[in-house]
Amino acid sequence: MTTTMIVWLSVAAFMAGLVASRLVKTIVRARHGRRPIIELGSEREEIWVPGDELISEQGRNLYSDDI
Amino acid sequence: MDSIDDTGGLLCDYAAELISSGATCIRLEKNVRRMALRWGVDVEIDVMPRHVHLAVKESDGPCRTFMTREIRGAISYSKVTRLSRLSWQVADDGLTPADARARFEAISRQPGANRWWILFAASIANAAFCRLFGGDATAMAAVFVATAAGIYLRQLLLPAGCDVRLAFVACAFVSSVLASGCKLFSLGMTPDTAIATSVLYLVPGIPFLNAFSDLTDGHYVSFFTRLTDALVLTCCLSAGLCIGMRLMGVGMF
Repeated sequence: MTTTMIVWLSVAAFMAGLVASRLVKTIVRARHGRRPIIELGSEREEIWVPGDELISEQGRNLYSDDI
Repeated sequence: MDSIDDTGGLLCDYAAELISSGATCIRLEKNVRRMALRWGVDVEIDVMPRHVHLAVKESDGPCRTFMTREIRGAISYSKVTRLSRLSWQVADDGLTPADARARFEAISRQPGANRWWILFAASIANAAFCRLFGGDATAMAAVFVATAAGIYLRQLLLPAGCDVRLAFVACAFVSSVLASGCKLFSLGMTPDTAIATSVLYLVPGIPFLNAFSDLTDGHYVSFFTRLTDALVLTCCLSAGLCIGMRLMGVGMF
């Protein structure tokens, strides 16, 4: 009886811990990734004309012929 | 004018995607031949355990062979339906290989069903199975929780790269142990039914059905492949169930 109780409690606790840890991780990630409703952006973010260099492309010369 | 490379490549990729999504071989042959007929090529298909092999021939041209590896992914009848519809669009509306390729890529990229919906729906379905086998409300509740825990574990283990057989053993073990709580705490009148039905969600039903469909259609290689896969998974879930029952001191019925 004791062994079966230990096994059941271990499995139940493991699953509960797994769910709780994933839940906490999700909440923490959501808080870090949250953007404020009002924020001051950089000039590049505010005024961007199609064809301008993207932030992700900064430093890469995409139009160079000598590759 | 699309080259035979484009046409054959698309047909081969299409066949591999269709078979990976859980289609039977007869559907695969019909769909691919329907598209090939429209594009004026003749095809022969070999469905092997890990890849699809396609021989494509134009009426007056050389025969070309194409091979695409099957990606073992989640079975998706929604994707099978969309891919079948694509073959009819090619046949009826006269889509070119280039147009069909664009639509095929869009279908391939479509995400699977919502994981939380799958967890909830499968748990409800398994609890209903428990009821069908004579389980009472307590047993149904236990099966619902045990199934939800098992599916949650499977949803974590498989994307993390865990071996599917190991995942099946672990999920069956967790579900059977949790369902054994009925017996351990003397909850309800049918704890044995709860334990027995707690792992039914792991039974590979679609591979079994597809295997027998392939058998009746004469695709013996595909039949043996699918049957072996399904039997291995069934053995794994049985092993997990037996370990759980043994540790929980439940008799083997």
